[in-house]
Amino acid sequence: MSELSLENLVKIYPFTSTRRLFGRKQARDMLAREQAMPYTTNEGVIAVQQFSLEIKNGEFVVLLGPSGSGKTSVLRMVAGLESVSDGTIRMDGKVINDTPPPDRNMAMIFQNYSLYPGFTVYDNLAYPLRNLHMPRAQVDEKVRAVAGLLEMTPLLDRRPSELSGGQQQRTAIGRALVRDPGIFLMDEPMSNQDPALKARLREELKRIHRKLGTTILYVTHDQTDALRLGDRIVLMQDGMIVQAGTPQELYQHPRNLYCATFLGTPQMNVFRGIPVQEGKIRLMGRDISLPESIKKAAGGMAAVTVGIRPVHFVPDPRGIEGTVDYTESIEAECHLHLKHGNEAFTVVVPKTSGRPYSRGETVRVMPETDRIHLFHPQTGIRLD
Amino acid sequence: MSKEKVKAPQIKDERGFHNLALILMTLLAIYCVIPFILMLSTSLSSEQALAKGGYSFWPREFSLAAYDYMWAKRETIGRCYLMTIIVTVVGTAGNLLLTSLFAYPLSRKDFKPRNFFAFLLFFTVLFNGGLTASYIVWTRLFFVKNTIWALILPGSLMGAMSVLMVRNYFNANIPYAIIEAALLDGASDMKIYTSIMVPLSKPVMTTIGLFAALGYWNNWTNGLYYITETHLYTIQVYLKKLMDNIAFLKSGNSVAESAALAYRTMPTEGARMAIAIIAILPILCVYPFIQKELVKGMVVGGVKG
Repeated sequence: MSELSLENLVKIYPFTSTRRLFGRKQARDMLAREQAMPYTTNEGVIAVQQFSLEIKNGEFVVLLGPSGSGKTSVLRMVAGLESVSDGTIRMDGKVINDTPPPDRNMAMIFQNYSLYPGFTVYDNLAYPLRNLHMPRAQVDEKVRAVAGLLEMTPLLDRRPSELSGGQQQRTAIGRALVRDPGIFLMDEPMSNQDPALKARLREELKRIHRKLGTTILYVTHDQTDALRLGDRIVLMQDGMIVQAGTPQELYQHPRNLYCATFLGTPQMNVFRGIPVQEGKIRLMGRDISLPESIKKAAGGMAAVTVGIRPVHFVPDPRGIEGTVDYTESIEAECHLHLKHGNEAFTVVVPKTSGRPYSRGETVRVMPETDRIHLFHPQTGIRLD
Repeated sequence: MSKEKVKAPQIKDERGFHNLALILMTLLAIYCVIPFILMLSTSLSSEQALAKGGYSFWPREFSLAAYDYMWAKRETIGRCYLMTIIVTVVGTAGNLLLTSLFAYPLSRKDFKPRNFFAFLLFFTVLFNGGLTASYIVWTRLFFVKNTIWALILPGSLMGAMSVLMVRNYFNANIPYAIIEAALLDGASDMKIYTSIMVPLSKPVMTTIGLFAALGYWNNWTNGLYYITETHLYTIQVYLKKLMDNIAFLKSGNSVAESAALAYRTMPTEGARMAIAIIAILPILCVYPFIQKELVKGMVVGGVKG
């Protein structure tokens, strides 16, 4: 187990060399595309910037963000597979910016597990130890111990192609575990699995983490993985941290509109609200009371952005009127997609409410007062 | 509701094209097989019949005289065979080693000067020193004349196109994440090459190996340029020398009675063809078994890359 400290990490990828491209138009288009990225310098595209994070011993931290948000770049810099343009990476207090990957005492699990195809499970597990020139008996002992821990002893003679997705993942974890690394790095290890298997793999990973207490840095774009696995989630956008905190913190107190809409299924409803008097806003023709904590936040503003999660509406005969556009029946819930004039919003009601909803039907709902979020209409920053 | 006739989608009839392709491919195959049949038929015909009626697809007067002549020369031919096998085995092994060793760093994204080396490699495809300069370099600088190395090193040891083919195979078929995983697992570059890259690239290595082996087996030019000692002759060099000698006797420049007699009594055309048959026999025997791998490797290296 180890601690990791990332201080002001920056990663700049140089612009693609266009000298090798024969077509001028192609070269021009490529440069234009790269220069249109959110952040660029004369040197190239900035993939990661101002990235500072402390990861404690045994913590399970998830880097979450859409494609191109820089999460994999951070992971690869930590692993030593990418150079660090600026900033410092410390592991247990020691700077490891220039330490070669094998000497960092980290193990990485890749998207497709990257098991060695020609090797058996045993050889896959033994490979890192053989590279350390460990005596054969010791290698055997360690491999069998890890295989026992992961319940893989009967599979030791199989090749990766003969394993199921879950078994492949366990082999990859085993290969990482066998070296007894300080930190586990995982790069979207479940992105190619079907939902049922994914759920099982998540449980298994959680069980292993509980059992061993290893420090894990996990990269994903899947919010379900992040919310269910992470002790802490680091949400990223355009190479920067938007918000870092526990899953509950991010879900209940999103720092900005991006964070609020990124987390949660179905997505948070976003409306334009007009503050009418202190503690009240007008939303789709109804005056809604604001919770105590944000009563004064909208004071003096002509309009605010109001965020309400679909699960935080309750049926109310005096509430906002909406016409059912269509419905989705998902497990124990019913998702009502409503329309109010030009506004469209989603409301989740439990199926136990007993009544079916049909298209064109009018429904009246009211948001739960203490679950309303307000954001600045221009910057999207949370108003508290 | 009015009933409308829905036109069934027409599947384009490609039978005509297939038949044409079949005919063309058959003609091409016959075109390739004809010389071999002629060769076999000639080697089994008597010299007199050949002199009278020329070549035919079926032996005119069946005779094993050419093969008897070969049998009489079995000691020399056996030695040439052995030399050919040694050259082919050593050359092919060296070729595979050098080709893959060159291709591996070129396939590594983190090897900064790879573009420079790729340029150097490609340069040799377009330009080379020519025969005279090569001859001088090999004989004056490396002193390979009349050594077995003359049959192995010049020209055949490593081909730029083979390197590019192997590099493309590495890039297209071995996920880069596997290399990164091995790096994190503490493997050295050499270890990655030997334990991961080579075992995972069997199809392309088989293809390159077969090309190299065929090249070495059929090569007679190196022997012609650099070898004068008869004990270093390979089978192809021996065949070439034999043909030269027959041509010399036939040309009438040799006025000696014994030479004229030798020419009259030896099965010249038949012997030529018989030795050619003997030379390609091993390849003919092996080819059916390796054909699948050869095609697979070519498709993988050529199309996917």
